[in-house]
Amino acid sequence: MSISARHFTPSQPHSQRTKKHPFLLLSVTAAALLVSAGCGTAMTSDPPGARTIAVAITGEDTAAAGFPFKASPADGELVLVDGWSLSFKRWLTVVGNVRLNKPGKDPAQQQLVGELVAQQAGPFVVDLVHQTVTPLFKFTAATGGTALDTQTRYAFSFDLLPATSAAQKIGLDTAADAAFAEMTQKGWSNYVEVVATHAPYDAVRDGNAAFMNYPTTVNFKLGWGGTTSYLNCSNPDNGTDEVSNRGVAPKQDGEQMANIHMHLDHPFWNKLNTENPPMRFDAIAARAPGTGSTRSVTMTDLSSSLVTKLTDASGKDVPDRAVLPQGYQRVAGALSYDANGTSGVDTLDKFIAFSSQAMAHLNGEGLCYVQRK
Amino acid sequence: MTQQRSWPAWIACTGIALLCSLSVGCDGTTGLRRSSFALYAGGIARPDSGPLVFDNALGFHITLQTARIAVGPVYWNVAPPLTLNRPSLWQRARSWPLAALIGTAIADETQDHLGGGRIIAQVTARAIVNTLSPELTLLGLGDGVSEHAQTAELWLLPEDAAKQSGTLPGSAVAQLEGQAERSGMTIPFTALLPLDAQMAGAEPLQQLRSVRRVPANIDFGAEGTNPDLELRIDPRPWLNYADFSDLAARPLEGNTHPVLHDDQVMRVLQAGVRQSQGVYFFAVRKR
Repeated sequence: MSISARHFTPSQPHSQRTKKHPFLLLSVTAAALLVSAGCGTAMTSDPPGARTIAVAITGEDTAAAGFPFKASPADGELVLVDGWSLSFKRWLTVVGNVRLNKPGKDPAQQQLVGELVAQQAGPFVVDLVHQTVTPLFKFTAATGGTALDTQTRYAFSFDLLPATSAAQKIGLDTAADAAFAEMTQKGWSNYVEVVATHAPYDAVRDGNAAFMNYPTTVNFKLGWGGTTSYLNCSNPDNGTDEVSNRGVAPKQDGEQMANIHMHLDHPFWNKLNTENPPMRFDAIAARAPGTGSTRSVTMTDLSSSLVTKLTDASGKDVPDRAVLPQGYQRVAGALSYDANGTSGVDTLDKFIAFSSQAMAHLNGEGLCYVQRK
Repeated sequence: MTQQRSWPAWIACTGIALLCSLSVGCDGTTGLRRSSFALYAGGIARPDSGPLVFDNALGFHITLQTARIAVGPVYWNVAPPLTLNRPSLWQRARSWPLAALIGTAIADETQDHLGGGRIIAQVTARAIVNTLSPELTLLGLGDGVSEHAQTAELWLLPEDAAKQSGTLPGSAVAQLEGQAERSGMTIPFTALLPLDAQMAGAEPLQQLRSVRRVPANIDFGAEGTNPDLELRIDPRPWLNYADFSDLAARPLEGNTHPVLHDDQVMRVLQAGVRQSQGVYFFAVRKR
């Protein structure tokens, strides 16, 4: 069976996602073997894996590598403009209701798909950090047992779901039990533990004395809930046109892959409804209560910070700390985030949740219709 | 200013091409027919024009004496609105059968996460709208094809605007004058919102100057009718999170506090005029 590594390597137009990682390739191979181990089709004349779609999920390289800050990042490399480095300790996500539908009749309306062909309800809960690529299951036939059609590009959709005790744990260690219990209790679909670090205050670099009082290590626990449907995803494996490349077609000569890519930069964007705005952490760090260089912050701490007037835990404005020498221009005055037309996203916790709810893609950069429920 | 003109021009061309191509099918190949209509615009419906008084979320008691905005062109799209919340059962029932089966669509993604959809009607004119006047005035004439629009896209362009009612000072797209009161302090203010390249930063200017996915449940296909449309604009949400105390820290200029480019009030205003919901309300005009 042949599996292209690019399935598991983000292929964002932004070249920062194209970096390959030896561990990732190793994981890809392992995942491929795992997935292929269960291959079997109803078509005895077909080669192994034919007419089968194997579904996996990945947090990409960044799940393990995080976002280390570099003052001079390589072209397209993702860094936070305010100088923070992020590493992920845990990222649990619940995925389910993976669906294949016949294509919709109106390409202008991505959310409209045709008749349901196959569905795997799951749900599955995985840790994106502890397993770079997690195979979930395989579609081996349509509902009712008929073989999948290699001439049809099926619309591919899935949901991120609130955690319940019914979720099937894949690759989770026992240390994740407490986190999963909290997810279930709060109805979160994603649970994230981040450690953020920043170099000590430097008057020249940081530009504002307010940052003297900011922590340099922040333990940030975040999560968000609700069901988010990702409908009729584009598929970069079928070409670059985001309309005509939608869907996944089974192959006659082997297994087809459909990999859900979670883009871990979304929670830290400062603008909605656009791809790759600057990433920041100061507005989150500023909300950490207490004193000292190491503090903790949760989503609750962010709920009284207006995105149009971001403030610290004591109510003072958060200045714009742009420490990148190139690529970002510091904004005068208080920092604010841009809801970019979205009404009702007025506080920082809502902003992060809304932005994060668009973080899943297909096969790298395949954009899906995002339906929040 | 090439960039500022190219995007709406592209949309207009696409829209015209679409309309032309669809109109070719009026012999029955597509089943669509052309429709023409007029778009009227004004402020929210209330008994009288004049100052608008309201409180914002930060506790300021605001009196608006001027609130004008440059609007146009306007395009209607089959794409669904951008919204946060799950639609109610009633909303889903109204849009049976499609939405009831698949749920009402929220934000989708393409290059800018808002998707393309399909433009089915347009008004290419521009005008300055006095949002403090409930009287509807003609914004422009439009044409479309007999489909159902779910949303509209408004452009907020300063140049060449307002052949009917003049331009705003300083190439602004919105002009506000009024006063804000809180804790016994009264802060007079004036604001001219530019939506210019400086404000756009690294983002495309056309993105800053368009308001997309505004709910507009308009049926351009009602048999035998060419309904005129109305657009009512509510300026109150523009200032919902404005903190005028920042202005009071500066001395008066004349008898007012001009809102400057980097002021929090200006950023709030910029975000406010671009809100897809709660500001712009489309409907079939009642005669």
